[in-house]
Amino acid sequence: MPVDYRDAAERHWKDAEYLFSDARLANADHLFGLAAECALKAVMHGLGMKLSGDRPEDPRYQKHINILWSEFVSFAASRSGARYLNPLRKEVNPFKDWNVNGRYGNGAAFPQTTVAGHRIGAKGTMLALQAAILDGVVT
Amino acid sequence: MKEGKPVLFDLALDIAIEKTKAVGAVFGHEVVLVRDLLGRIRLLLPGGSKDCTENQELALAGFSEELSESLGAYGYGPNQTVLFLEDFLQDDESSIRADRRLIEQEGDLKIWLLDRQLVGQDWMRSSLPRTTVTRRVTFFGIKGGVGRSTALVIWAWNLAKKRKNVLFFDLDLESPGVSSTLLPPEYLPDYGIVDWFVEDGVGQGGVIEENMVAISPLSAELPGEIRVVPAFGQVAGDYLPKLARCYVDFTTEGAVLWGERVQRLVERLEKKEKPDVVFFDSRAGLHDIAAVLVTRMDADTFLFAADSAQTWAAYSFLFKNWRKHPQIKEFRNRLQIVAGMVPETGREEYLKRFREHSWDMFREYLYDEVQPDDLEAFSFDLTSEEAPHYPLRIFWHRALQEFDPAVSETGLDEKISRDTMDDFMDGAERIVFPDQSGG
Repeated sequence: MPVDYRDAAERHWKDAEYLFSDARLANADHLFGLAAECALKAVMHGLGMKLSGDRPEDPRYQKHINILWSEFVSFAASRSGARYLNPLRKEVNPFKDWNVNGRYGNGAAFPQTTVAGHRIGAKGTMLALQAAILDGVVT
Repeated sequence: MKEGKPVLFDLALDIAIEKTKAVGAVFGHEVVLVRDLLGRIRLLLPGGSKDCTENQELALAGFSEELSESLGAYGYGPNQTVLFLEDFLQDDESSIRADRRLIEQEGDLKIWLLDRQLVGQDWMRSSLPRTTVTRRVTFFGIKGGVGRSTALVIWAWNLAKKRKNVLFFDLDLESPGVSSTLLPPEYLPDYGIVDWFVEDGVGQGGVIEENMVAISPLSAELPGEIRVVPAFGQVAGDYLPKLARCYVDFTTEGAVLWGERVQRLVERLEKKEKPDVVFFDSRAGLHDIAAVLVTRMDADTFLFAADSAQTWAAYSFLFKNWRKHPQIKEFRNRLQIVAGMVPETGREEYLKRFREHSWDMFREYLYDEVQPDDLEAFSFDLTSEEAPHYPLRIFWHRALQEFDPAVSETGLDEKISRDTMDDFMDGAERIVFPDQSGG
């Protein structure tokens, strides 16, 4: 299936918000992480990150958000890229404690405060994505 | 494209406006044209795609196709030609509202432009909020080499003689130097403005603020002081890697626009040094530093010029854009043209031509069109001496070209400074200290 990071980011974000508002925290958390990953990959692709098939060509970027966040910060340190760092606010990775394998875990292991932190992080990546859309960097 | 003739940048916006007007208010009364970093244009509509009626959907499909085709290389594909505000997060909505500007109004249809630019947005933004009231002056030239820096130094010296304390910021960061006229190397403080920007980026601007201001020896014997905030300090280190990080729009504390960072720096030092007046030496030309200093810092701005076709053409680019500035009325009365280095021969003729060229430009772009009985209008006659277009004059003198007060034992030559600069300084003082005219 051809990748569409922008569309994927938008649907993961919307579904995560839906679940979060209904206090279904475990799955909301999973989707906030995926939304953030897809949003950053959409911007990186727009800024020139090469794809090989359905994944980034460079192994450094074949990562989930707990790793990808810091990679994005160095990737975007160019004249046209730096503007997408603004909405990320703090450069400390808010997804440090997020793990894609959380999907196998027990739902009780997702406290409200942790998920709310991931939500703020994901929102920052969505704002970066939307700025890139207005800029024509992501189409 | 049907005609096969490529659409170029300037034409694209006109086409987009015309096409949008043609569909009228079918999509609501407020539409935003988004022009992206490459200049491509599309439409941003209020609401969401689901809110559209069947009629609107039909109109939208036709419109998208037509706009996309007529814009040529500056269009998006029909499916990407329309965006909906509802698809953006609320934070985005508010920044879109803040940055868009009204470019066309017809009946109750308002067309806004959201211009996404890599640099230069500050030319069109409104004044930055401030918490201090110190008078501020920006020295700007659209081109270099018109005596801007020399005028600044001599005026500062004259003000210090009149018991005024001047705090001077060398913001010509790409070619730092005025500070060396006022401050010989051994007088430099440890740090400068580029150091402040990088340290502020990681939350420790306060660490160097105690060590980035020095008193100019030029004012040593005078009742007032000239204090200088140089671009770099004694501990210059590597200038270029620091300069390369000065214009970043965020810090570890979060997003903060560059202009807001400049305001923060200036306010902190104003509060600490308590000067009577602040001078900014601005980068020449259409640079982002100048954009902030000329239009956003609540400063009186002296626009230095020589009477040459290139100078007026370059100023006209700026003035033409300003005509569309949403807050133009708030800052156009803070502008004042200065004729720098008026030649020794044929002075009257030179100044007459200068005045006419300056008047033409102000009239075309910044003055209001007036009816004979309209007394409120911002408009001036050619020969009106208090008009912004009527130049304050600085006369060319060999001694000014070789002027370096730092190496002179006796300081400035009073007579030369009076002969060449009096007209400028008197006029400038009337503008900057209106309540103390005669100084």
